[in-house]
Amino acid sequence: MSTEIGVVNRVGGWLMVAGSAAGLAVALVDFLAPDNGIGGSGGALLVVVSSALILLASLVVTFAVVGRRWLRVVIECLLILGILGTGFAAYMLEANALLGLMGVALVGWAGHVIAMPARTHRAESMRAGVA
Amino acid sequence: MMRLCLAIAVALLLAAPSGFAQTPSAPQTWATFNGDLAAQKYSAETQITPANVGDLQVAWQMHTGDKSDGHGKTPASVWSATPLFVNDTLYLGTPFYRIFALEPDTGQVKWTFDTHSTLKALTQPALKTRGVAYWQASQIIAGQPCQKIVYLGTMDAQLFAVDADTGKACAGFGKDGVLNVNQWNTVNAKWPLSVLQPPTVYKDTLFIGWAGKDWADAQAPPGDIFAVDARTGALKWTFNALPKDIAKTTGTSNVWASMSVDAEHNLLFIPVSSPSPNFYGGNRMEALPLVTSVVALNADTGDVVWSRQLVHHDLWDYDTNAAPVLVDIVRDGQKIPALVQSSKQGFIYVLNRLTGEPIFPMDEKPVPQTDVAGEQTAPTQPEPMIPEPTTAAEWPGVSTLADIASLGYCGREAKALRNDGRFTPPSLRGSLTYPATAGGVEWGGGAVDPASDTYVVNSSNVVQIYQLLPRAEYDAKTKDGNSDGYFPMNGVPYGYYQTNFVNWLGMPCWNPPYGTLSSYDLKTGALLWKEPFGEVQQWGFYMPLSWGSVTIGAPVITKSGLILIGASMDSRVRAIDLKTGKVLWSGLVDAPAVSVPAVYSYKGREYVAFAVGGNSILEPKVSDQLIAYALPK
Repeated sequence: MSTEIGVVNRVGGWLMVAGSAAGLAVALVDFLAPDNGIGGSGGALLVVVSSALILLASLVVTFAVVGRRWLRVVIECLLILGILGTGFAAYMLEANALLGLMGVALVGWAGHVIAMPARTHRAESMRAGVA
Repeated sequence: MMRLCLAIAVALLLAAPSGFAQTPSAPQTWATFNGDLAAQKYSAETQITPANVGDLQVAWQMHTGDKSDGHGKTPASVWSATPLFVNDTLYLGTPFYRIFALEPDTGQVKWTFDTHSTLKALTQPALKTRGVAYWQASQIIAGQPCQKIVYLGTMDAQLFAVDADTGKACAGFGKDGVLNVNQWNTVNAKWPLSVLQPPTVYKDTLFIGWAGKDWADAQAPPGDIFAVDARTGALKWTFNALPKDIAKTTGTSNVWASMSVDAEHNLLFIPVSSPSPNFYGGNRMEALPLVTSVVALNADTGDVVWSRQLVHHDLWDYDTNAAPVLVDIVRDGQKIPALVQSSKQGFIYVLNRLTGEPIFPMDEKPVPQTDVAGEQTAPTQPEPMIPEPTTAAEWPGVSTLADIASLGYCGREAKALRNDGRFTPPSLRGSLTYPATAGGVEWGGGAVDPASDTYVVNSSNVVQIYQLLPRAEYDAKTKDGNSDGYFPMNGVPYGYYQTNFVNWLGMPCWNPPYGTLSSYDLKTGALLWKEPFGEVQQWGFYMPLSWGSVTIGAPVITKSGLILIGASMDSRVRAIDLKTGKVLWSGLVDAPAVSVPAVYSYKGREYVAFAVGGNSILEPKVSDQLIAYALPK
């Protein structure tokens, strides 16, 4: 059971990373394109920045060791706010591809959070080592 | 969010290419600014229909190179040209005052003509043009040049005539192909008579109106119209809406918009603007029945056949600003020769074009009176009871969102301003003015389907603050060179300040929609539908569809039941169902298409061409793009 949870958690993380990475790429293209109605705009730049931050946070929660649980919770909360905010911004920019990719990231986030172990193995190990 | 994603996915699947049927149609030209002399903006084309318009695609596009965002030495460009399709060629005037002749099916350049005109904003705040005019001899003499002529006016009041086939100047017109319109600028000649609207061409005569420098002076050039010979530029007659003896204190009442012609009755219809200065009238208390009016002239003599004043003692710059649309209305089996005049104030005046009498009831309504010393307002203003105006009688009220964002500024300011409803005069404390000089309906006017007597018009809902400043206060406020929103109105006791009613974020303090598209049944005057039109875009974000957009430009109606229009500030051009007002197709262009599109057919294919120029009033975006759409081959 814990293995299945771990798989869902990892797949969710991967999905979040993939969605946000592709989202960043799309946001960059949207910002740089001269003839899409939003190229060069402040809104398009905003979603480039927010997509980059989401990607960074996704990488952290998926691959890095976050020893403190409260910090992990904070990052996960910021992630969902970022994904929803970027999705809303994409909706207002009529950037449908980015909106779809934020949907993918959202699904990944949900899988990642729902299947999050109570304590990560590494965190347990670290705590044991310190003791 | 997921539901939204799902909806998008479904929409993408449904958007798969579908078949269409192309119906051959007789070739159609678009030979004048409004498509025809009746200013109907109507095309008999039927190839593009509501059923297949979703397949519309870019047939070709080109860039003239003539654009400026105003950041360098060259003033900003405002390009509102209607491309003309005639003589198997697409003709185009640019805001740098060049003429392009293009292949209508590819956009390839046939020839260009450069007027080398000054690129200084001598009168208007930007380099403007609404394009070219075309004339051809009724009997073409083979081998003779200038049997077909393209005309382009300039900011410095020169009218150029160019052979439509070769692009060479027509030496017989004016002096070496250039008519100096400014030669007739002899009274209060403070600035040139900028010929920014192409002349109206009827038989062998050009009717030339012009634009001036708004809100600067009480004494200004009187708004003469010049009728000149199409071949030579020789003056045939002039018309002026102002009595000669009043020129010492006022001026303008010019015709800066397009005109229309009833060829059957030999009548020229002109939309006459307001006298100067625009927001104070203590210097012009005389009865001036021809100003801010629509006037019918004998096209041969310039004599007034009838006139109807639309605003008495205009203090709002409610210029009559679009060509009257001429259409025969069939009611109870009777054909009524009608004229439909749109207006900045949002009224749609439907008049008998032979007499000037209203077809639907009109009333003289008491209006708010001035509290400014030296001013005297008209006690009443004419208001059509039918059709329903494009703008509501009351202003739209304070926007909660803008009010919260401004920590209550919008609400406080609205209470502090004078607001007694429509026709609240300018005041010393500031008047909340709705509709304002920005419209209502702008210079594009409306379009009509003569088969169904359906009239369609785009309109803006703009709230502005009008404030008069005693001269000493005005001078104090502008002594440091601060001119943003300040206009001197030299020659009267007050200067003038005007601003859009927005908060510190630039958000409109009034409730949306900011722009609408309306359809009327001219047989009854009934409003058929009214929809928010266009989208507002800020920092790239599109606001809700229900907000609509301020618009500049005009619609075109096709026989197949489509409305084709740019005009909105979201840089989109749209095809709309004439029956329902629903958007059927849209295309993204480089800037707001602040123009009248041209619909034409060439070699069996129907094209819709938009000049995409932008206008800093709408959005700080300019372009030099001409784009033509057609169905796939």
